[in-house]
This record gives sequence, C-alpha cells and structure tokens, in this order.
Amino acid sequence: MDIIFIVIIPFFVSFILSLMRVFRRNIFFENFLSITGILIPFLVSVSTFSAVRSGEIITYNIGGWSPFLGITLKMDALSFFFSFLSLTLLILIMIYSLSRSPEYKILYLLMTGGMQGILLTRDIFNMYVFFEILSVTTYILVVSKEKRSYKASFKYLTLGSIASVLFLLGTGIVYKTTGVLNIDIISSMNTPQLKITFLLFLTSLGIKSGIFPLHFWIPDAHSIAPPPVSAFLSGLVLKIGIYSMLRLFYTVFRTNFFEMNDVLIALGAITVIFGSFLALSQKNLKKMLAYSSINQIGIIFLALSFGTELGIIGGLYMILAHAVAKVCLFLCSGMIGDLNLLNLKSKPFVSIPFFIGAISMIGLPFTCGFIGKYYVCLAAVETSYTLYAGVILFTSIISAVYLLRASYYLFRTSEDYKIPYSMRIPVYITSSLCIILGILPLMISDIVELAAKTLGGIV
Amino acid sequence: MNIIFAVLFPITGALIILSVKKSGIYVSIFVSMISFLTVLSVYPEIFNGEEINSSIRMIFDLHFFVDRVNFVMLLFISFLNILILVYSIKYIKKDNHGYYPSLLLAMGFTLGSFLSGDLLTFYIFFEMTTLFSFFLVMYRGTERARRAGFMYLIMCFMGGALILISAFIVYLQEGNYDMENLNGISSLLFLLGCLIKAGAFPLHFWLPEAHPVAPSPISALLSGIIIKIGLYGIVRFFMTHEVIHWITIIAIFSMVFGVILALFQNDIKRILAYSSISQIGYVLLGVNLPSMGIAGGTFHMINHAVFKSLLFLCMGAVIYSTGERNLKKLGGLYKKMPYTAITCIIASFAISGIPLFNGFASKAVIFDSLSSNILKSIFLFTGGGTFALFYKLNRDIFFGKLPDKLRSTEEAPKLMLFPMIIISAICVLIGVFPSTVFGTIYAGTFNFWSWNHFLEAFVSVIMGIFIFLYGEKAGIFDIKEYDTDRIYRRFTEITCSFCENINKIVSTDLNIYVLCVLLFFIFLYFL
Repeated sequence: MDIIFIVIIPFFVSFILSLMRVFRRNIFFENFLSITGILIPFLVSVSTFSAVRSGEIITYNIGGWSPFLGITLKMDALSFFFSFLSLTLLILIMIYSLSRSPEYKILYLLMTGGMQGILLTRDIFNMYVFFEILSVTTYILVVSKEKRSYKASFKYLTLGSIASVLFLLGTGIVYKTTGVLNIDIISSMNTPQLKITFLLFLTSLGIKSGIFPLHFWIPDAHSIAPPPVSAFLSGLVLKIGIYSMLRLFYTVFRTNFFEMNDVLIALGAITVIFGSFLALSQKNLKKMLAYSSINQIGIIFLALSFGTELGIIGGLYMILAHAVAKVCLFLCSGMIGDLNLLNLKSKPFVSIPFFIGAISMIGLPFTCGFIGKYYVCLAAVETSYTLYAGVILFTSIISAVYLLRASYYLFRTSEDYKIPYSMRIPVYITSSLCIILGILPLMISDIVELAAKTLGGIV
Repeated sequence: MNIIFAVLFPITGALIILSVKKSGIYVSIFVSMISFLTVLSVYPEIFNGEEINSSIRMIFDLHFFVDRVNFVMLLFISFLNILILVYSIKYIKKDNHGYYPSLLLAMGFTLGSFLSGDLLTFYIFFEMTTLFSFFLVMYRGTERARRAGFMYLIMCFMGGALILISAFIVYLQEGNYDMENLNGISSLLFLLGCLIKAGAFPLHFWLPEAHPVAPSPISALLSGIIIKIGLYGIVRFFMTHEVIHWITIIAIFSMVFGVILALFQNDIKRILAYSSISQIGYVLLGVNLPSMGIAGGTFHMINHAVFKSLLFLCMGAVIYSTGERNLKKLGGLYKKMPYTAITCIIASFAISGIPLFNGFASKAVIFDSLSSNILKSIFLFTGGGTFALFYKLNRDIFFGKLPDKLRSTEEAPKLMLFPMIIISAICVLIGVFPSTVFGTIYAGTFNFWSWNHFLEAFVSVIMGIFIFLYGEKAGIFDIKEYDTDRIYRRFTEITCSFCENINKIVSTDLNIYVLCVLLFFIFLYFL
C-alpha cells in the first residue's frame, strides 16, 4: 500500500466514527474501528521497513503533481523512526483509553492523522496544515470535566495559536524568497535564509516542543489533561515539534542553524536545569512528570544542537526513550487514586512498571534511557562541551531524586482496587519496551544511524 | 560454567521472587549458593594462572574479567552473601515482599562490578548496585532512613557520573574503555568517583548516615561488601598506575578522622560505620604503595569485608535481642549472649590487628611496605585508636553491669548465630594461615611471623590502652558529633529553597507567557 494511507486512514475512520453517532452506540464495533484506524497505518509503516532500512526513500506525489507544484510525501529513515514509534505508542494508548467516549476516539484519530501527516510531508505549508489539525484536536482533548482544565486548555490554545501564526508567517517569507515550498528543493538551492525566518520557525516550534522560556503551557496542560492525553501530549506531541526542527533546521535553515549553534546549546542546557529544578519542587505527581518532560526535551534539544552525527543519534535515542518511558509513567499515573506525592499508594502491577519507567527516565543502565544519555554525553565530550555532559549527568541525579522518591512512595501497597486488563497491558508493554530496547539493539539502531547519516552533521 | 552466571543467577532469582509474590527466602539462598559455586568452578583455571575474559554483546559490550585478585574477592563476597541471607531469615520478621528481591539484585550487581573488565562495565554495575542498595537503606521507611537513603543515592550517583565522564574521555582518546588508559584529568575523575563510593574522607559523610539506618544484615552488606566496589576500582587503577601522593594524604585523614569520630559515637552501628572509614584509609594507604603494598591493601580489603560484616551481624544480634542500640544503655550481656559475645570479641581482635586473627596479617603487610617514619607512627596511632574503640565497644556491651531492663534478654536464634560463627571461624583461619589467601594475590613470599609485626601489634595495643584511659578521663567520648556532612546539608537546603523560590516566581499569568515569547524572539534576533 502507498504511504498516503498512513495519513488518510485515520481521517477516514474518524469520519466514519462521527457518522456512527447517528445510530445507537455499538461499543464493540466502535472499539474495533478505532483500533484498526491506527493499526492499518502501523502495518503500512512496518511494510516499508526493509526498503527504508536499505536506504531507499519512498516517495508519493499527491494527485500526481510534480514536487515543484504539488505535495510530496516521503518516507525516509527519520520519518520512519518517528512514524513507527508514534504509531506503536498510539495503539497502546488507544487500547488504554478504550472506555472513553466516542468523541474522544474521533478526535484521537484525527490527531493521529495530523501527526502522521507532519511526519511524512515534505511541503512546508502542508506541514502547517497538519500542525493545525494536530493542535486543534489536542486543545479539545486536554479539556476534561474539571473546571481548571478549561483554563489550561485556553493557555495552550493561546500559545499554540501564536506558534501557528509564527509558523505561517515564516512559511510566507520562505515562499517569497525562494518561490517553492518543497523542503528538498529549497535545501538543494543551498541559499541561506533570512535570520528572521529561522527565528520565526524556531520560536514557533520551540513553543510546540517546550524550550525554556516558551514552555509555560506544558505544566498546566499536561498535568490537568486526562492521563492518556497527557501520555501522548508529553510522549509524542512534544516530539513532533522536535521532528519538525530536525527536518527543517538540518535542511532548509542549515546555515542559520549552525551559526547559532552555541546559543541553542546554551538554551537547551538552561531548559534542562530549569525543568529538573522545578520538577524537584512539585508536590503533584503529574505536574512533576510534566516538568520532567521539559527537562528531557532540554536534553534532546541540546543533543540535536551539537550538530554532529553522534549528537543526532543521541537525540533520537533520547526521543525514543523518553517517549516510551513517559507514556508508561503517565499511563501508570492514571491508575493511582491520589496524585499528591506524599499520599501515593498503589499495587505492584502499577509500582513496578512505574519504577522501570522511572529508571529509564533517569538513564540508568540496562534501560533505553541509558543509551540516549550515553550517546548524548559522548557527543558532548566529543565536541569538547564536557561541561554540558556534566550538566546532563547532574540533572539526571536530580531526576533520580524526584522519580525514585515517587516510586518509593508508590511501593507502599494500598487497598484492593480493580483495573481492567485493557489498561494494564499497555503499561506492561511500554515498561518492558524500556528494558528490551536498552538491552537488545533490535533493528532500531540501524534506522537511527541511517537517519543521523542522511541528516548529516557538521563535518 | 561461564563466570557471568554468577551475576545472572541472583538477578534471575530476584525476578522469579517478584513474579511469584512470595517472600522467597529459599529461592534467594538457593540462587546465591549457585552463584557461589559458579565462582568456585573457575578455581582450576585461576589456579593455573590463567585469566578469564568473557563478554556479553548488547548495544555496548559488557566485558568481564577474572584474575587471581578479583577471584579471591568474588569467592569471599559470594560466600558472605549466602551467610547474610541465612542471617536474614530470622532477622527480617515482617517482609513486604521487597526485601529479598532488592537484596538479591544488589548482590548480583555487586558481583558484576567485581567482575567488570573495563570502565563502562564497571560504571554500569556501579550504578545498578547504588540503585538497589538505595532501596535497602530506606527499608525501614522512617524519616531518618529516607533522608539517609537520598544522601546515599545522591552521593553515589555523583560518583557514578564522575566515572562515566572519565570513561568517555578515555574512549574518545583511545577508542576503548580500558582502565590502563586513564590519565590526567580522567584518572582524577575516576579516582574521585571511586573515593566517594568507598567513603574516604572528606566525602565519607553519607556512610555513617546510610549504613546504620538499614537493617543489620544490610549494614553488613553495605559496609562489608558494597563500599569495596569503590576500593576495587582503585585497586585496579593502581595495578597499572604510578603512586599518587594526594591519595596518601586522603588515606591518612580517613584513618585518623574515622577512628577519632568513631570514638565520639554512642550508637553501636554508627561506631562501626565510622570505623569502616578508618579501615578504608588503611586500604588506600596500602594500595598506593608499590608492589607488595598493593597486595597488602587488597588483602586488608578482603579481611575487612569479613570482619566488618561479622561485627555488623553481631550488633544485629544485640539489637535483635535487646532492642537497644545506645552504648550507654547496654552492658553485662556476656552471660546472656555468650556466642554473640565470643564472635564479637573475635571480630574485634581481628579489626584491631591482634596476632592469629586476620587483621594482623594484612596490617603486617601494609606496615612492612611503609617507608617513612611519619606514616608508620600514624599507622600505629590508628591501630591504637581502633583497639581503644573496640575495647570500649565490647566493655560497654558485654561486660560491666547488666541494666535492669535487659534482665530477660535471650541469646539470638541459632539461624543468626550460625553465620556469625562461620565468619568468625574464617577470621581465625585466615589469621592462622594467612598465606593461603595472600599467596593467591601476591606472587612473592612474605614472612608474617617476624618479630617486627608482633612488636607493631604490641605497640598498637599499648597505645590503644593509653588512648582509652586518656579518653575516659578527659571525657572526650561524649563530645557532640561534628562532621563534614554540614556542607552537604547546607547544599541540599539551598537547592531545595532555590527550587521552591523558582516555583513561586513561575507565574500563571497568560500575559507574561506571551511577553516571554516576544522577548525570546527579540533577544535572539539582536544576539
């Protein structure tokens, strides 16, 4: 099947689901549809694996138009990495949240489609459109029955809209100066872009992914949203911002990006320190996890800003580790009654996955997080920014303190409570992935290295 | 059998216990025995002078390496593991299913760190040991235990981070993680990391907090075995490197301060923790000397593992029977707990270096390799202090007047006495036949029974008696404790209040958020 189906099918299923609202609700059929809506894209994405691994780039021109005029979808190693990762986790989160309302599933599928669109498209304006789909659906998904969730969603909406405006403005300037919107064509022109364009994109994507002075919406939105929503917001939506940075900054804005290297690295370091210090002082588990996301995003941003191949490899592993572990932690938080840190109590089927997720977040050996930390620190030492390696390791000690504190409290057993297996299994799978990916290289390492090579660092 | 199984068995055992949700004591003892037998099974190869290299292919290669030096350590450690587990059967009365898995994991990863053949492997096992021993330190769950646990965690992770950076520096210079490639800044970082883990002065302050709060078998594991990971790193370092002078200074300070601070304490487990610092000083002094000294240091490290775990187990028995850990409130227990008293006295003789006990042998080797007279006199002074310390400890616990509260005290259960008796037998056996162990570490021969060494032990004892009498008379044993942990406490307080303050500053006003976005943009544009 063509790669267009990765984008189309979630939209289509979401459309069918909304039509089904006319009839009486059939839960089985609804669940079946919403899972297949993500499973088919997942299978399509998997089917491209062998081609992508051998270095081939799968191209699809929408409507048969030439790339110069129309929209091109391309699946290369980087897209595959993100698409495969996000679809795997999205299925798991979907299974976890099967008991939620049909509206949730409709929006969830729309979001899936938007996310895959961003990952596959090579047209900047098209990317903007998909970003809007992704953002608008998440604004709604953040809202729950709680009253403060409206406020959180409103903040998210305001900052998200600013980000979109800046993105659109940047796109306009790029189109004006180059005359095309296709990323590959622009980057083959090899002309440096205006600094202001670069900054527009940087600010916009910085808001989306939560770099230091732009991160303010994260703690509110992530801590107040329902647990599965926080899981994909923190685990995946932030990473989509990072993906767009990688895609745009290493191609279109290559020269601008490498000029500002030092500033961006420092920015990443500030984000890391800020996130970890604030996470330490939180009293609410989900808020703590939200701040720890900022910490991790800082590490990822830092790693990608080194601009070397090792840095990109480290950043990608860090993305993988953080996505899996954060989804695991947030899903666990959905099974705990009282989220105040001092009152945490749970059963072993929550506390042990939480513990595994926590050690992966800290970056202890035998977990996926360690591989990320390892490559990032190696890249830092290699580019003689040894101080930043120290910063990362120091903040990982701080994150050890707050995460292990939480998991220590969680080991206290509470009274009986029942959790359906559809919610337990995703947690088990994500937590075991944290360890499996840390011990066995599987095929992921090939993809990561290929992606790093195609993006290409400073030589 | 491949030596890696010595590490894998305890870990698998822990996973089995976790999945069946039973207390799992028999599984624990069984796997630790298999682990011991695995270590034992490589004896023929090691005896023939071969070295074992093996590696596991993961994303990184884990290298394992056994030669004569760490073979002896592994043998003792895996044996002590079994005894500590046996001791735990009675000691841990109420278990919430977390004790044995964490204990086994800590033991398994400790064996791994003694097996490690390069820097990265060493780091990996070092971190994992810290993680699980952290849960063991906090096992009691009290406020004090929690604080000590986090202090332990922070300090040891700090050490781990230093080792990791030094590993990276070596890797980028040489393309591998071999320990012999450490030089300059990387060796400094590596040594600092190991010194933190070993609890050397002035980075020792976590040790007297963390070791006493844990249950006694855990204290035995921590003080006897886990702090030796740091020392093992240092031993491996000095096997390929020249003497470093500042290590000698650290060693002297650890020896002297450890024993002086120990004399001030009244908590029976804190005394032992401080005396560990002093004994770590001996090891550091030894390993920093050429050829024979390093063997002596290693030998002392093994002996310390034996007698310090015995001492902790004895104190555990005292606490188990009386429920009391303050020295002032104990006394006259000799009649009530004869076996505990005898084993404790044997261990005290061993640690004070009395002839025919194992401490004597290793101290003799280190003493012989010392060249300067200043070092020799400090050595003797510390020996004296140790003797005074353990004289005081034994007198106050086992002799003197029995307090009324303790009239109904009974001897500890047999399952707890059994490991203690075995370990004390080891103390005596090594003491009488020191060359069986020392011969495997050191290629040359050494005369343990020369008059020099008896004289050294004798002078130490005399000095110890003088120190004790003087201390008793001047009342210095009641000085309020003073230690370097104030710096750490101050630092954590500052960090916490700093975090709180940032948290207050962080506004919830949307206008400010938008302003930040704008300022960010403008700032970067004009940069």
